[in-house]
Amino acid sequence: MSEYDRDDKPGTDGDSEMIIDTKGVKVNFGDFWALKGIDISVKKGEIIVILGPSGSGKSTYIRTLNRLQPHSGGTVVIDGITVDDDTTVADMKYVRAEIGFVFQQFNLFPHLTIMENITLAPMKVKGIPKREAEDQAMALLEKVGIPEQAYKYPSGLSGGQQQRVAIARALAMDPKIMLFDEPTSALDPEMIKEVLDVMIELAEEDVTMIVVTHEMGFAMAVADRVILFDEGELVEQNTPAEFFDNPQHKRTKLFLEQIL
Amino acid sequence: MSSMGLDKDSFLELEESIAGKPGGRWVTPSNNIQLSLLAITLALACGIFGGMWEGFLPNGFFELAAKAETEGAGSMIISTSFIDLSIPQSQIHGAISAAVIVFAWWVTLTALIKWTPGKTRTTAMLGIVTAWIIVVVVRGLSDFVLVEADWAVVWANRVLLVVGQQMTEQMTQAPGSESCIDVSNCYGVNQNWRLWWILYPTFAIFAAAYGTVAEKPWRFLVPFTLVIFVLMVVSWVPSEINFHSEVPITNLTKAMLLSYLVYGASYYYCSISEEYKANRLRTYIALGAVFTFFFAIMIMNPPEFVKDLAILAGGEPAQGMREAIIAGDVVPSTLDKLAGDGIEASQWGGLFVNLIVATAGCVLGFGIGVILAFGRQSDQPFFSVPSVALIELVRSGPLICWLWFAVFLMPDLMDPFYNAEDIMRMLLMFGIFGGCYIAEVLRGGLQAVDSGQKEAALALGLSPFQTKMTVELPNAVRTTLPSIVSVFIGLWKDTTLLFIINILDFFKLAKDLPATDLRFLGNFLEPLYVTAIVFWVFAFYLSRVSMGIEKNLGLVREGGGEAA
Repeated sequence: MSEYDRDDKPGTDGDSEMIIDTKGVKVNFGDFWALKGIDISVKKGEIIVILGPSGSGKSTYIRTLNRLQPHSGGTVVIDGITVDDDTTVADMKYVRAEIGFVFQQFNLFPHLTIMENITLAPMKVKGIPKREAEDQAMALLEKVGIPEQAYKYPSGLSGGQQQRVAIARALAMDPKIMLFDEPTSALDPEMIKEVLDVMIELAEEDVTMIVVTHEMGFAMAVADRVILFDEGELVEQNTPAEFFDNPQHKRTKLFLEQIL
Repeated sequence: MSSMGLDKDSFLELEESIAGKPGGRWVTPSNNIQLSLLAITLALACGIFGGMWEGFLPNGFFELAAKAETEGAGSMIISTSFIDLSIPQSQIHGAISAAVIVFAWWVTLTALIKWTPGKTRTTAMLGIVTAWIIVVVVRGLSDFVLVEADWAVVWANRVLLVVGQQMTEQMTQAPGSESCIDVSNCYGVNQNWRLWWILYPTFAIFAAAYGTVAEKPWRFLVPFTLVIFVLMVVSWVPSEINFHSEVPITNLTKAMLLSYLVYGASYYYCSISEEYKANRLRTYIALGAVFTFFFAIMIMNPPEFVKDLAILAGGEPAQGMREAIIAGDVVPSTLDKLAGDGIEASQWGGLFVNLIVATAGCVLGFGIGVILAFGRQSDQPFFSVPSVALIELVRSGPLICWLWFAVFLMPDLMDPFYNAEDIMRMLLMFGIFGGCYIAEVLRGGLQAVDSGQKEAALALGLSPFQTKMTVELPNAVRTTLPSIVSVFIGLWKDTTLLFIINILDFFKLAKDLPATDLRFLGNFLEPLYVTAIVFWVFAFYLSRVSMGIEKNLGLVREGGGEAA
């Protein structure tokens, strides 16, 4: 039991159902406002797909959730913890461990084997013994379908396999929230399916997911809510059925016309 | 024949590539090879009997040999219990010079007989000019090495050059030697075992590292055995009556056998294991190398606690038993020797000093470099300002100034904590100096680490410090390793600057050799050339290692070799 497993950890006593609660989130890069005030609340177990053209701020938004991108205005509350400059180191560690993040470019550590990639954080952050961490990693690799690659280096794997390892690596911290930042955009078409299959399987579990993607099929199949971003603003949010069949905003219609 | 590349066509091809394509109308495919033979015959004649037309053609073999003889060229004497050979060096000089002269004549005559300038003027001209430049260089070098120079000054002092004054004396003035008659001229305790204790792990580390490189075993075993052989020749001094040649020979043999064993084990392990296990082994070997460095310093001049431990384990300081040892009543055990005093750093000498100082520059320098590189990048002024200040200060001054600093100012700075000897302070100074350069190299590597790597680590919940150590640093080291090795090469050559503060390193000893004996008076160039060659060999080896690493980084994909 480390201090990480404390009983009074925030969020457990909170009555709020919202595991992610953001209000008026703003991010600027100099004069350019990438996010102009975003209000999104996410319930536990909810699956959200964020759509939008390039540069609309969707990646920036999910990066503010675990503070890879500090926000310059508004509030971000994760599991009862307000994430900002004043967040304590312990709370920040807790938030980051609670949030699994999957990158577009996988970002596996090239000098570590697949097994070491997955066990690194559980061992270093949670202090789980090596044997236990490896058993867990093996289970996760079986879940994503590549246990035989455990002792290879990332460069020996295909893009789809690397992304599946990245998902397993994020899951190894046993997160409540999974964030996916265009997980299939860097993949060859034939590898997209194997990654999406893993994500669909994950969606059936009790994990809160926010997925930034261009995969409409995935959005229709698993999303509880679809959100459209444009120029740093939230244009429309709705259930997938309503979103695709009956869009309310002109901008949404235009977007759907362009991609469908 | 064709497989040996000696058939007619490939010979003509070689000839054309050097002397040019035949341009004379008289050359036909059928008489082409006859003309070549004619050129070769004439070239041989000119090379061997060239001086018959004195002043018109360059001297041939006989004239060169005769001239060298009159200039007093010595003889190479190989004398063992099996064979007794004496080869006049004048003959060798004549043969080497004649060989290049024949080559030059061959190129020239071929070009003339077949009139190659008519067809390929540039090739013909380049071929002829280059061939004669080779003649001038090789003949001059051969003349200096075999005729003019007297290498006895180096050869007679070879052991001194490697291990320095005191350790050489201990080889001859230890109990059992004829010169060890009474207490006043006898060392009592032979401390040279300390050197062997360092040599064993060093060789083992080398062998283990080479075992992890997936290359044919002979590519390591043959050169390694040759190096051992050279070391044996150097340490075999039959002319010195009290020098126990069998000691270094047996120890080198043991070290060699140990190395073979370690190499075999490491090679076998890597061939049956997956890549990640080989990489893990490399990491352990690198750690082992660092450990060996500290072990070397500890064993050469052990600090009090090591001696105390040995006493606690039942050892009795060997120095205390000196008279009994000299009288032959007691033979000190290893524990007794361990409990005794070591060799003071001021008594270290020769190549050993260069090696240990350069290693300090690498090992300490790498550690200091990592700290400074991260310090420089830090947001905290508390870390970044001193790091930047130290790096910029040290890098802006010449090493010589820092060595003087280490001699005169460092003792005052360290006074209350650590009263170090000169060489120890030099180790430290080389570490700091190397560290500042490595810090800058590493900084480049750290900046080149993909920002996604850092983000991935942070997103997993690793602390900034953990991110630096487990993700950023390994990535940066991997990409900058070749540049780091070139810093090491620079440090290695810089160790010769130690002579300036009268540390008896290889260069200083070599420089002073002619003054040690009347026989050698005036032979001040030979030791310096030998120094140059020895340093060149080490630096060249390191640069090959660096190239190997570069190749590995490219070929073994990501996550390739770390050590070796």
